[in-house]
Amino acid sequence: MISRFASNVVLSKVRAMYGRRLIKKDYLDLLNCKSVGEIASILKCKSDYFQILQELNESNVHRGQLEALIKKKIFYDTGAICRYELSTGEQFSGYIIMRMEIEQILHTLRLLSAGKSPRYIYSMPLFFNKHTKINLPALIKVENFKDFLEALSGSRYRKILAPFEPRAGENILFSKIEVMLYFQLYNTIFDVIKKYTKGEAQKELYEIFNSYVDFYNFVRIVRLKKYYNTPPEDLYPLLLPFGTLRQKQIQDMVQAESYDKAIEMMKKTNAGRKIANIEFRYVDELPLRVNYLKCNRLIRFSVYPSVVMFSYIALCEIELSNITSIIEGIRYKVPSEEIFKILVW
Amino acid sequence: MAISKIKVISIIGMMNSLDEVIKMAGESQVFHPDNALSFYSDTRGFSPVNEVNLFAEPLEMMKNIASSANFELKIVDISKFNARLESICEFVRYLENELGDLLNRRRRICEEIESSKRSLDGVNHFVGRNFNLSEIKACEYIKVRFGRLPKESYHKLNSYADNDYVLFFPCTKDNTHYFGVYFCPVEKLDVIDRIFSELYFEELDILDSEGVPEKKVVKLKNDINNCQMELVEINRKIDEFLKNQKDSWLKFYTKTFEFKTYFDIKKYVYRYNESFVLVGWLPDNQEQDFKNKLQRIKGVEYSIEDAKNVQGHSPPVCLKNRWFFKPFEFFVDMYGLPSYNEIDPTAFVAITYTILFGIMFGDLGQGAVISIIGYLLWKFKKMALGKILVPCGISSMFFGVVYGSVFGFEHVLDPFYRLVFKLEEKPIEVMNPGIANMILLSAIGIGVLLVLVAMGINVYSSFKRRQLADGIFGQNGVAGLVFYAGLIFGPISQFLGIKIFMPVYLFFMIILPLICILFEKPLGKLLEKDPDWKPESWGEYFMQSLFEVFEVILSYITNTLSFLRVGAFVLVHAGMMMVFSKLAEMSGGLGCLIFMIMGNIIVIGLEGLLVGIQVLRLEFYEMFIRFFEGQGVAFSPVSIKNYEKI
Repeated sequence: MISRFASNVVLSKVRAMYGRRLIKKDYLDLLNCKSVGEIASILKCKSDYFQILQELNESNVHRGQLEALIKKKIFYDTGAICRYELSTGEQFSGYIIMRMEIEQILHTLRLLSAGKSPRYIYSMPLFFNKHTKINLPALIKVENFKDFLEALSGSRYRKILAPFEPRAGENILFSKIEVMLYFQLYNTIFDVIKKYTKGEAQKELYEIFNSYVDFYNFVRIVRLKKYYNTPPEDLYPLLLPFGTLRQKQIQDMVQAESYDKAIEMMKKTNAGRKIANIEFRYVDELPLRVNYLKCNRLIRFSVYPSVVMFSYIALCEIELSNITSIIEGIRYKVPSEEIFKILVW
Repeated sequence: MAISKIKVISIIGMMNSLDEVIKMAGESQVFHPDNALSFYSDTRGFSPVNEVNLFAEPLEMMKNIASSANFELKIVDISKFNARLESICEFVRYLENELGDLLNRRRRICEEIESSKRSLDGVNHFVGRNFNLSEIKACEYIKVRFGRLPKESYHKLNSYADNDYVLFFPCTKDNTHYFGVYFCPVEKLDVIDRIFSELYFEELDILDSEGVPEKKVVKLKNDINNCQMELVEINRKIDEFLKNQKDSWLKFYTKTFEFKTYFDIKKYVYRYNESFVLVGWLPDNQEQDFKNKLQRIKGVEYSIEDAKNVQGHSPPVCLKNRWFFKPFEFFVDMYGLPSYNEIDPTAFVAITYTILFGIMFGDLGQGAVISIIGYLLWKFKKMALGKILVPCGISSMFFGVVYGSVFGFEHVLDPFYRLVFKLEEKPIEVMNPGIANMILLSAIGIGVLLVLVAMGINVYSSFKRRQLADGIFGQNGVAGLVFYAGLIFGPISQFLGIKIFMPVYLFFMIILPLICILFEKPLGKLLEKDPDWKPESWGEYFMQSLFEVFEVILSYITNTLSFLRVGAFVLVHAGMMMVFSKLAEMSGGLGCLIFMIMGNIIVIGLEGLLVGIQVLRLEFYEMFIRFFEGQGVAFSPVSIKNYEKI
């Protein structure tokens, strides 16, 4: 109880930090840029990004370099906030680390599948090495799944991923590994919510995560149906067993005749009703858009430190995703109006 | 407390009349389009109208050029201006050729200046090193690269321990980079260059000079000076062009924007064979006018329905309030608009905010200043907050009269009280200890009243939205209202000598409501006749709900005590002004005047801001939280004014 009141400092601190976020005008300025260098230059003018980007040479900046620096800033910003929240801060910082670990594992697996593991050196976040039990430098040298498991030997992931080792001549089961890792992530976070929070705070946190998972599952169903024509029986194992969608609703969507039908079915569910109020171009945008609406509201009006803190973490991740979309869009000469439509704000 | 009535209109017509319908809907400025698919159960055969918006590209080009020229594009009056796509494109080409060329030259020069300055910074790291650039450049079998490497990349070089050619020799370093040199045999250059490039090595163009690095420094300084002179001349030409073309550019921009915005309605249109379907929302009072215009278009049919019959589609919300309440829509919008079937809290906010602000910041003179500042902010800066400050200032003036305070002079109004009310002095002496206690108790009383009203609104709103479980058993429903009232009035009655704590009172006012709150979820499900009303585990449910009820009780107490700040600010205000009055008294003469002016400025600026924030805090966190969800969608009809900033 005492720790909950002490954590109230997070409310003001997080809201003050959120006040320094990128706003619509900043995004419009970024969209007017012609190169990655100009983006870096504009971000530098924002006090929040100045420190991390101050030594960057705008005339010779690489997209990967800029993204890596922004990721680093957001990792430390969100981690710093967790220190102030005494009831769940430690557990949430564990979530941030676990999420980043999963990103590294999946990235390495993609490179391994393409036979390009040594290229991991270029994107490897060296700063993260001291926060994780994964041996990141060892991931550069992996030549097969065995080496990969060896690099993970100090961490919890070795045991989780060992059953996925492919037999000779078989491909890596990337989708199943991805689902298993995200299952672990959400299982951990739902456990934290159940164990360390209660009452309204618990309800609000469940709302954030359940709605994210609902749309994550929905997007997976739609994508796998539309682009890969995955049969229903292969689809179920690729969904996360969390969220508010009932088994019957998922079944109906999985067995829908077409992708449009699945969307219509989703719109009729409790979670899916929100779609009516959201403008989007591709269904893939929905998890972040729904999450943004919820977190943007909770960060302002929730009175629970753990909720406000997590909303901040989620909104920072959305800001990172927006910046990445802008960088990619400008790099590949997409009209700014098109990029603007996929930004979440 | 009102939300404008909205109607949903479904328009069906032949494809050849689509452009006319869209133009009419856009020009009407009252049409809010929605996704037609969600309004039809059978959407087989519906396909989106995929037409390229031909106005998007010229508009984008205008915006790009304007942004490079730091020229502000805005919507202007074009009632007497006509343009077609061809003339728009021609104007854009003219802009590109004339202004675009100047802007490109300016950009190149700026880049050159920037690059030279950066090179200068880099070369300075090698100044004083005893090496001859001409000799290094003359090496035939070895290539040398000067530059800087991020520190993180420098540490990653350890992973190349088994490659003898990946060698980097740092000369100096700063917080983020190592400045140094790498070299390798010519035949390995491609591979080594690629590795360093991916590690974000930035090469410094230092080898284009002869002799020592100092000579390069001199050359770079000269280059920078020459570029800066050229830049001044180009800037002059750009300013001249903008001065001459400003008016035509803004007219073309507005016209293109208008065409493009109306065309965008097509993304909501679905095609069915040779027909189209368009669905959207209209304000009730615009229905007839819209229908009349629509009837003039051939081959079009429509149907109109009341929004309350299609609640599942989340009808957009347009607030409708009287002039006094209207400015306070700003605060409601900040929290979130009400849903179509929810209560609009604007009037409640307007009344409570104005009164609480006045109580907490009561001063006749300072209130007048706040009103004037508010009026000026609204008049000249068009700030929404300005309109709110005007009634708040008037409320401050009223309570200033009650407290007898004018710019911190506490007895200036005494003659007024004697003349009008036949009183010896002012009725409330805030700093009197007895009165101070009464002020704090009154603040709690105001809190109790407002919390009860908020709960009452929630009961009404829940019944209106048919959320009976929340309205009856919720912590802000009937159960919560009865419990809170019982908790507050019981002890008060005892204190006044009325023996109210009888078993009947305790059961009906305290125990029964608490049981309802404790079992809110199963009772709610029972009320909705849900067969699955039992919790998975009664034990777990009971334990969890018990903690929740404990928190609910705690929140009733903390929320009520939170209103103490209303009384506290009355005392703070009087205290702060007393300090400045004493300082003024002690200094005397001109010092007295300076102290009183400075004191008033500080109190109006600092305390006015604090009071404004604290009252808003009370509104949002102690009252809204009890009855208002604010999940509504704004009614935003297609209009170039609405889309201007996008």
